[in-house]
Parts: sequence; structure tokens; C-alpha cells
Amino acid sequence: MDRSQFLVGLSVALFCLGLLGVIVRRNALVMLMCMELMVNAVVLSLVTYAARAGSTAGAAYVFLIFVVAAAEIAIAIPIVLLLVRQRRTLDVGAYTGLGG
Amino acid sequence: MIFQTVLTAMLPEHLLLAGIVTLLALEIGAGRPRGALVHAVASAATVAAALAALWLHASHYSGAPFPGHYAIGPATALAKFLVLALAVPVLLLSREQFDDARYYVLLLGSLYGACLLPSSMSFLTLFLGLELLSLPVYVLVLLAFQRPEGAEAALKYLVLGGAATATFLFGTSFLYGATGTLAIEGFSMAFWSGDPAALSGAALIIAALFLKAAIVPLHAWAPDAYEAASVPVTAYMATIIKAAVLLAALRIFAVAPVAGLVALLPLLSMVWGNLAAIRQSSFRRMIAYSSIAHAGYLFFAFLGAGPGRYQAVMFYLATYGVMTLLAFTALPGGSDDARADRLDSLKGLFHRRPAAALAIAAAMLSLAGLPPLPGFVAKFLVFRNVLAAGHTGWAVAGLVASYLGLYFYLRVIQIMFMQESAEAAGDAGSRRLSWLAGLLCLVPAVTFAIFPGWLLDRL
Repeated sequence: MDRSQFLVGLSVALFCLGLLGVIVRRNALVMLMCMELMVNAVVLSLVTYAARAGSTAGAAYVFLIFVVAAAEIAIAIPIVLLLVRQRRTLDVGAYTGLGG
Repeated sequence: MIFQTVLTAMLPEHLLLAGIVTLLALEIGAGRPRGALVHAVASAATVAAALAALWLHASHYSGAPFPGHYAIGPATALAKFLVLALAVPVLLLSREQFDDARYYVLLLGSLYGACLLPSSMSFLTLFLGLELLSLPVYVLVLLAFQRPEGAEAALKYLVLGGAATATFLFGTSFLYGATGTLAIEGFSMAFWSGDPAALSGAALIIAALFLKAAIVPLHAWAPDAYEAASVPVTAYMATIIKAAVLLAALRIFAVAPVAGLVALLPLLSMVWGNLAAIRQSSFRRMIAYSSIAHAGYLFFAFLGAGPGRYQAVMFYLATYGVMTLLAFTALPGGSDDARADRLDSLKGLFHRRPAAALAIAAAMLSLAGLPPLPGFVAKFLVFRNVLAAGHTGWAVAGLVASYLGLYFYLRVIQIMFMQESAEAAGDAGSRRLSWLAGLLCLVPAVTFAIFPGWLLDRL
């Protein structure tokens, strides 16, 4: 198996791991980390494809993704802080104010 | 001259940006600027941007300031006008609840993203537009903060929205790997090529769009976020976010064929949205489930063929947006937000404020799709196109599902007209801006009802 195939396979595995974490883990911070893991898997696959195709579009895309992911976390962390101050726990299962 | 093109083609976006910069400058310069001033600047920027989009449409301007990434034509300009015009009543509604610059900066930023979406030619622009559209809304849900659940709903929305973003990106990355380009045409190329990587990329992109538009298995964030947010933010999410996501879907599906599986989930979301709305006791939660059902009708329109599909979706978005906003502008306010939101607080509204009750009733009947209201024409167009494309079975199933919604829309009317009011307290006094916003929704609503052909000729 050549290297780019291996790297794409690795990124699929990382993405699935992140998605699984978002779904099953109940700790707010771990959920955010799993979200970032999904984004990082995308970055890995984009870089692999860009290197294989020899084009720069994919690499430029990666920079934009970093900027947006940073912005997302900058919004997420204050929300988590606010929740912890209210409820004194990081467990999402304890946030029962909503019907779902 | 390229500079000239950038200036003209992106005029609506530039005006929004000018509004944002002015608001930030006011905030820095004046410490806490007066609410009226902040509101006037934000409204002026939005109205100017809407007029600029209308002007670009009327003068048949087309240009591509960033070839391969951003282009504008008459149809795109009209889509931008639709989004921006729907934002004007939302801004008028915001005046009484929000008077700090932060709220308006975030709202204009989100509108900027909504304007980028119909113009995007590559997944790069589309991604930026989608994120610019949703990132400020996570904060807007939180900013109302009238209820302790606000932060919870915001976190839920953010985590699900973030997962949707990552899914969308993974899909585009697969398409990029299979076709070697980030252009949106790669999406339809994936269908023709039959390459498994490209097909799974397309499937991931569709899943992400479904989540952003709250289609059924991926709708969990919508009722919570709608209920926890304040009235103007809910109105913004129900109309403009939905319209912008659907406009993005129109761009992506421009030439691609739509498989039957894509119609199954929208059908499910019509059924589930209409059934779950029945047992809600909060007005905003009910509107959330109603908007889930309407997202189903809108995606159903994609079964139809090319030009008819564009016309049906645009007409549906216009009537749905105007009618939902009309209901929100007529809603009686109150100091206690959680109590004002209960459906029970609408009891006997007709005896207290007949005009408001009639406006809400018209909006409900139109959303239910009863003739002669514009909602009927919109639904008729959608199902006619689906039939014309030869999907008879889907059209019949969709029609049956759509009339499941009749029950809960009529229940609102029954509560307003036939029940005695519990107490008359809680209604705010004179609200001139709400009246103006209601008028801004009523005029197009009446126009669409009497002359639907006039609008359809222009789409």
C-alpha cells in the first residue's frame, strides 16, 4: 500500500474516532476535543490530496480551516466556562434544562 | 479594471462591512453608544445592502471579481435581496430587546455570510460563507440570556454545528481528491463519474446541509436553540438561516441529479415535524418543529427539474419567510419571556388585540398551505414540479404528510379566537417598530397572495 493511501485511511479512521467521541462521550471538553479531531482528520486528508495532485488549492484551504476552527473554539470555551459556573460540572448529562 | 469589478459586484457585502466597521468604531470611540444610534446604523446598512442587491438585479449586472471563487449575476443578486430584505423586519424587532452594538455587529456578520453563499463558485467560498453565517448565531443564542438554558442550547447547537462543519469539510476533501478541483462543479461531476470516494464525498456534503437545515434525524438542535433564544434571534434562525442554507443547496445541486434517498429524509422530516409540533406548549418550539417540516418541503422541491426547481424554492422561501416573520412581529411581548412564550398566553388574544390575532391567524393558515394564501401557491409549485419530473409516488406521500400539519396550525387559531383570556396583563404598550415590521411583512404577503404570477415572472 502506498503512502498516500495509508494517510487517507488514517484520516478516515481519525474522523470516525472523533465522530464517535462527539456522540458517546458526555464530557463537554472531550466533546470539543473530538470535534477538533474531526477537523484535523480533514486537514490531513486535504494535505495528502494536495501533495498527490501537486496543486496549492488544497493547501490554501487548510489555512482557512485553521482560522475557522480557532474561531469556533474561541466561542466554545466561554460557553463551557459559563455552563461550569452555573452547574459546577462538565457532564453534559447533568444539563437537563432542555427537552431535546 | 479589476478594482472596479470588486467594488461593484460585492456592493451589498461592502455595505454590510461598512455597517460593521462603523458600529465597532462607535463602540470604541463612544464607550457605550446610544441604543437608537446603534440600531439606526445597523438598519441603514442592511437596507442599503438590500437596495444595492436590488439595483444589481435590476441592471442585469454580472461579474466575477474573483474568477472561480465568487461571481454574481441577476439571479444571485435577487437571492441576496431576498435574504437582506427578510433581515429588515428582524432588525426592527430587535430594537426593544437589544441596544448594545455587539448584537448588531454579530447579526450583520452573519448576514455577510448569508450573502456570500449564493455567489460562491468554489467550496472554499461556500465554506467561508456557511461558517460566517453560523458562528455569530452560536453567540446570538447565548446573548439573549433571558433563560438559564441559553448556554446549554448554545453548546448543543455549537457541537452539532461543528460536527456538521467537519463533515462538510471531509466531503469537500474527498471531492477534491477525486476531481482535483475545489470548484462546485466537482459535485455534479462526482455523480457522473461513479467513483466511490467522490460519491461518499457528495453524501457527506448532503448530510452536513441536512444538519444545518435541521432535517429529521439531524434536527435535535433546532427546538432547543429556538426556544432558548430571544424572539428576534429565533425569527432570524427560522427564516434567514434556513433561506441561506437552502440557497447554498441550490448552488450545489445546480446541475446534479437527485436520487430517491435524498427525498426520503425530507419526507420523514415533514411527518415528524408536523406530528411533534402538535404536543408543544411553547410557541417558539412549535415554530421550530414547523420549520423542520418546511425544510422538508423545501428539500422535496429538489426532486423537480432545473429551472422549475429554482423558481419553486425561491418562491417558497419568500412566502415562508414573510409569513413566519409576520407571526413573530404580531406576537405579544411581555416582561417574563418564558411565560410570554407559552401558547396559553395567546388565549383570547382576539378579544384583546384583534389586529395581532388576525395577523397570526393569516400566517398560520398560510404556513398550513390553505388557499388563497401565498403558502398554498408555494406548496402547489413544489408538488407540481415533483409531479412533472415523474415522481408521482413521492408527490402523493408529500402531499399527505403536508396536511398533517393542519391540526397544530388550526389549534393556535382556536386558542386565540375561541378561548377566554386568562388575564389581560403582560402585553406591552405601544410598539411602533413592531407595527412597522409587521407592515413590512404584510405588504409583500398580500402582493404574493393576489399576484403570485408577478413574482414568478421575475424569478
